[in-house]
Amino acid sequence: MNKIKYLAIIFLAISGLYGLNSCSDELNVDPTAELEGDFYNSEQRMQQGVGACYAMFANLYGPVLNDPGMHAMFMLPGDDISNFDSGNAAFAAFSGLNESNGQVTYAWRRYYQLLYRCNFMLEKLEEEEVKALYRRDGLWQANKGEVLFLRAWAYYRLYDWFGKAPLQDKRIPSIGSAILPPSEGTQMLDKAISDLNLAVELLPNVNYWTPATEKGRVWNESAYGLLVRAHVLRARHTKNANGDYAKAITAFGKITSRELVTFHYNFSVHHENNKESLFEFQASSAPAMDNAWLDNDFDVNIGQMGAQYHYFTNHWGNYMSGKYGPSLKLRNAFEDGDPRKAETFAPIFTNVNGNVNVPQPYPSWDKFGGNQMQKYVKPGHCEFERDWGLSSPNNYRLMRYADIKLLAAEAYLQTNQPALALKEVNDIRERARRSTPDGSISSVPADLTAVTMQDIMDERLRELAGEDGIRWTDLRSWHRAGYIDLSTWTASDFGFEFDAENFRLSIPTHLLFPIPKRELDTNPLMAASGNNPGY
Amino acid sequence: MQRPTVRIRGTNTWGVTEPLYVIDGVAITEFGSGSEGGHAGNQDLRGPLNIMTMIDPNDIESISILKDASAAAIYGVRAANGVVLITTKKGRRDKPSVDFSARYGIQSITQELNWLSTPQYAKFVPEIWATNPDLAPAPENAGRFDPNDSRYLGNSPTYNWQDAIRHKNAPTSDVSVRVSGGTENTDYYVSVGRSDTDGTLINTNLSRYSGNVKINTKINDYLRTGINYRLVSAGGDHNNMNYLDNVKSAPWQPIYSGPGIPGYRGFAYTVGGLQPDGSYLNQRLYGLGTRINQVGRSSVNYTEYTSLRNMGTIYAELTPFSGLSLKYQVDMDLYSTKRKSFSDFDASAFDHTAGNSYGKGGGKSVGNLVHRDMTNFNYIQQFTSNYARSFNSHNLDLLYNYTNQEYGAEFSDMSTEYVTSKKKALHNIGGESRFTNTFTGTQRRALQGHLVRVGYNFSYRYYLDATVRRDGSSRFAPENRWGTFPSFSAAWRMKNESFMTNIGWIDDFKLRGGWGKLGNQEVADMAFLSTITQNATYNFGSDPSRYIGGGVLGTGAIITGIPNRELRWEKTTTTNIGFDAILFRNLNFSAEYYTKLTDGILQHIDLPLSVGVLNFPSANVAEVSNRGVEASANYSNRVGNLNYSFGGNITTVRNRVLKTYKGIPSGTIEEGYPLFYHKAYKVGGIFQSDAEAQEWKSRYSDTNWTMVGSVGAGDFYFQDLRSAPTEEGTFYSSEPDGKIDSYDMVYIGKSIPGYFYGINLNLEYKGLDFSALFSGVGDVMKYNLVKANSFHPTQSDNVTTMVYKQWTPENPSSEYPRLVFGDPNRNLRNSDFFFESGAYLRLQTVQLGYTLQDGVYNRVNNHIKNIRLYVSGSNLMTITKYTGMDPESDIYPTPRIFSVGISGRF
Repeated sequence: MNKIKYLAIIFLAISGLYGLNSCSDELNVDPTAELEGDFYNSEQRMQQGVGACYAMFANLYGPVLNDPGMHAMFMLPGDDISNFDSGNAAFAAFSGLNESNGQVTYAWRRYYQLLYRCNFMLEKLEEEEVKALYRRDGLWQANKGEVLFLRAWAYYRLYDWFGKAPLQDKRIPSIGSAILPPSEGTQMLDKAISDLNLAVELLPNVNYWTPATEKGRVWNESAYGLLVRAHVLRARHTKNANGDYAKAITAFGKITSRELVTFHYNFSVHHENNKESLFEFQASSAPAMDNAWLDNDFDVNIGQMGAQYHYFTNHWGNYMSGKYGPSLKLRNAFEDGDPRKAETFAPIFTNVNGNVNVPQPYPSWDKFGGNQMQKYVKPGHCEFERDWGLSSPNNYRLMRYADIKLLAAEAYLQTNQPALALKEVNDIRERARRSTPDGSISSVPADLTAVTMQDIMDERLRELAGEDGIRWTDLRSWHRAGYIDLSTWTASDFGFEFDAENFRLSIPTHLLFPIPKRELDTNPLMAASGNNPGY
Repeated sequence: MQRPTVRIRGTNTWGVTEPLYVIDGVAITEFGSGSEGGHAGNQDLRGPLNIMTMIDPNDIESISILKDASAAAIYGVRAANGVVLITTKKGRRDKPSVDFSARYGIQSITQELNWLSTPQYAKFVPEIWATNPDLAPAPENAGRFDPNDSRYLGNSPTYNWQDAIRHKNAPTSDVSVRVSGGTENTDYYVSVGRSDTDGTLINTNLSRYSGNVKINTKINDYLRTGINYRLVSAGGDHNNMNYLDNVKSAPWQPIYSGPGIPGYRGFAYTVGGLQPDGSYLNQRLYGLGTRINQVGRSSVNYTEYTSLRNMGTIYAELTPFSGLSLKYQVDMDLYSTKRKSFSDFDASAFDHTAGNSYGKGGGKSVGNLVHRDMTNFNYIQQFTSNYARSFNSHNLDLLYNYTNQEYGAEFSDMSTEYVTSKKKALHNIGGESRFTNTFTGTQRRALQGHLVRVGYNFSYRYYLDATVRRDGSSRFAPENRWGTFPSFSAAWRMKNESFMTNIGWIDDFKLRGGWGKLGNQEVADMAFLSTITQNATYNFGSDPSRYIGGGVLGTGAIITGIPNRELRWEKTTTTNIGFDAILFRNLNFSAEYYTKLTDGILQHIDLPLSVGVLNFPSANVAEVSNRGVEASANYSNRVGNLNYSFGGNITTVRNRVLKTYKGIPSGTIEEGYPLFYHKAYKVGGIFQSDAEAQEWKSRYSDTNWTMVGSVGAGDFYFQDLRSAPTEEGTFYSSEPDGKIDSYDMVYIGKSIPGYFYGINLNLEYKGLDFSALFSGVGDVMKYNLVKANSFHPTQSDNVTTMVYKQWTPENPSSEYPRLVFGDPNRNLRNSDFFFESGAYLRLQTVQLGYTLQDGVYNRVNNHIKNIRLYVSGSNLMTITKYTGMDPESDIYPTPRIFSVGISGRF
């Protein structure tokens, strides 16, 4: 008995030791995803990292039907586009536009996600091990330039819409450094400009990228174009206190390879990335199915890659954005015979598949004088994915040379060079004349003999109606520059044709969008600073 | 199929709150029940088959709930939310006996709502449109409500979707046979069972075969060994889950096809579908109120689950000398589920969101097929050594346990668009690779734990137990992996004390208390690592051969979030003190006060959106307390031949969030408030006249109004209670500011009930027995989902007759506002209008049984004994003020069940 007892205790001790020491490294299970430290180990993988920054644009311009998306926020404020009925009041009538607005929160969230990706890549690009990976000449510089450009794009947008949005200029490494203070004055725009000044030195020229596989990546003229925009915006906001108009002109002069193409090529799926284009969202269609309800980060096969244009059509896919059309002001803005008019709006209607002219039985388009907007959705020049006909692989033109030329015209005019301003405006009008369907030259719009600020503002309305919120940016910054006074405008000046008592534009409140409540609730520094005035 | 929600003593945390289920000593794991379950894709992979379905209830001997730290410590590694301990029957030393039982029941969902009929609907919608002429009716409704238009539908019959989606009197049956017995050295238990249940919604059912073998044998004086093996195979169709969602169709939308009603296999289409000329019409046939014909779709398509569970335990126990036992045990649990689902392309016209599927699969396919396999694996090795010794009146017990657990899941998903036959038996994945798609995934976890327990009692009067656990988890960084969790409990059986022996009315009295800590490690995998995801897609270049506007696909690679290496165990500290007493010989009474403090809660920190991460990181940042009282009493006695007993129990919970990350409230998790409280606007009242509205508008503004000019009689006005913060570190100020905005959303009520209670009653007279069980919940507010779905200015979904209660000038109401098309002034915003008390008392079970008396058995020579017949009803009656469908769940209300059964023994 004692011997057994003795043996048992030995056995117990041994198994106890076995238990205590055994494989506590069994707790080191293999992770089921690649880790940051190991992943960026080739030039190709660095391109994937940069590509992820471009990919965020799908979440900005796609249908995103499960999230509010932000199409109303881009399109409705302003006097070029009106909502189909009294709905969408927050953006069409500034009524009920508050800090809990879903589209405002969505926009904020997405642009900051873009910033986070760009800041992450900038940090990675500076690592020595990463620099050593590059084989192709000039690619490292190009990557850095691309990321700086995209970051500046987000800064420009956030500054323009929100004013004091926090400036995120470095990767946030830990929870402790996650609270950012609101920016002050033009701080964010200044940073965008300094980023772009770096980017123009780093980015290659347009021939660097292989067209078949890389067309769509930005090059130095894209950065010059954005630089023109940023300088002009700052000039308007600061009444040209820093000589911004002159700097805009300098940047404009560096764009040499661009020219004005036939007007409707800028909205046609057959002429993407044409000679007028400076930067486009490269829309496409996900390999298995472009699912309009799942965002781009959902997965590779069905996360959406296309753009949403059905707010201009009668397709049921516009139930989240609403249905928009040309405002009365826009319909009256063109001279009869201006070829751009028929390419902007016309009594031509798309059906689900987008390439057949279908008479619309509904009286719905009467609100727009029987017209439907034609940009990106004109039959014969548009394309939609085959499952629901919802999202479109037609690239959204984010920056085109005509826009930059008109900004340069404004800069010339404001720096007392009216002849150069007149030339730019007349170039635009000349292109309009040759943009007829059959190739003949129209006589309308004729060249101007002299140009005023009002002429430039009107030409911008005609040229850029319904594109990427450019009009609302223009109106607000011209107000701040003193060229117009929005507080004297009536509801119908803004294209709001319903009960004027429900039109609640309030200057200066609505010169900015509200800071989202979610930011105020989680960022004590922003909460201490309060929301934008009036919200 | 819906999983039940089980909470033990309140809700500790807001990550994973499920208790740990332990079946015969095996701690159950299931992919999707942990922190990964928050992701919708993972819940889809998990499937709806409840893991508890994989146990035949006839095999269960007892279920106990371990609530305090000390008791739960043995299962400690995942027991912080409590443990549900299920013990199954085993053989006893006895002649072999065969038990059988059979039951047959009928279930129905009896909850119904009063939906509008077709004439009522056809009149209601145009009235709604007239309230806001500037807002355009949906184009899909053009002409549907206009009697002069050819598209008018108001003359159609009223179709009853509420009846069509339900399977009334769905049968359920259960049979089981158990053989058990034992000799001096061996005991055995074998059981086989089969159960078949039809769901209370159509096209849903479940069958289960289960078997269990349990043998314990003593080989010699030193060695015992045993095996417990359970095999369960279950399967069924699962097509419908949401009752409320499937009954809201416009009343003129037909369910079945017929003359003039296009359809397929007897069910009505919702869109035009495939036309003879080859085009596909996706326009809804019955206006905007056309919903997916789920009756048709679930009858034509199928989603079938087949599950197999292999659970086994083998152990060897060595007893070298009396008092010491050494046990080595291996447990294995393999639970695999296969899902096979098929969507017929001809059925896409039941669903207006499906689009034209006929082009898929190269245009030659008839449907879409998906196979998904999910296997959960769980391997545990345990080593336990136990030494028990008594000397004089002292009894000592020492326990050491080491557990090593490896668990996880593997899944694969295969789908194809190319299917050539509609017959289920021929469905396999194959075809051209451009039509097929596959992905797989894995989840791997590991846990280790050591436990040392010392138990001591002195002459069964004074008890003391002390335990220390040390656990390690794979989910934390190596430097933070291990946690130490001590606990102890003590008890004093006061009855045996000299001062108590004379108190006649106290037959037994035991005072007990305890304190302990347990850990929870439910945080997302790899939260401490910086991982890369490659899902963001982009394209550059042009490749017109693919399609117009297309290019070369690229997959972007980005980090998912911010890693946190500081993550460590979340700890719950429980203190309890209570007593058990037997009074007056017939009254059992016990009461306990408990307090649980969970700290270091693994919370997804709500970082500001200006950070821009895809996934927010987790950190140990919060603290929640739950405390309350538990009491139960039971009185049993007899009067002549009638034995009776009745009793009740009650648990109260007071839940408070004590700390959050930097004091920042996150949704409805806020310091000083109960977890997940209801936060909404408070209604001030209804304007009874336009003048009253004008007067109010002169003093207040409401940032939610989108048509200020139209605010008038019949609209709600809300209370102005709070405003923007004025002090640093606060998130609102309690001063009104004349503005109604989101700051004015305040505490409306709790979502965690303040108390739970039950009442039971048993009677027995000669062979008859009767029992009734009531259960109830109190002090809770519930969001009335039915009200939200059925009181609104619809132009699409059907609504209930509740809409007739709206304010009108002829019929002013002080409770229901007017309904305005598009609700421009947000009368129907999230406010206390939609919340009401969710307290209820439910007659859970009633059972009447008869045990055949001895005389009957003589006729079969006593081969059969103990035959009992019974009838029972479940959920027969509910007392509640809640006006929704069912105070427990509005989307899948509890059915009423009647059953009859028989059990006996050979």
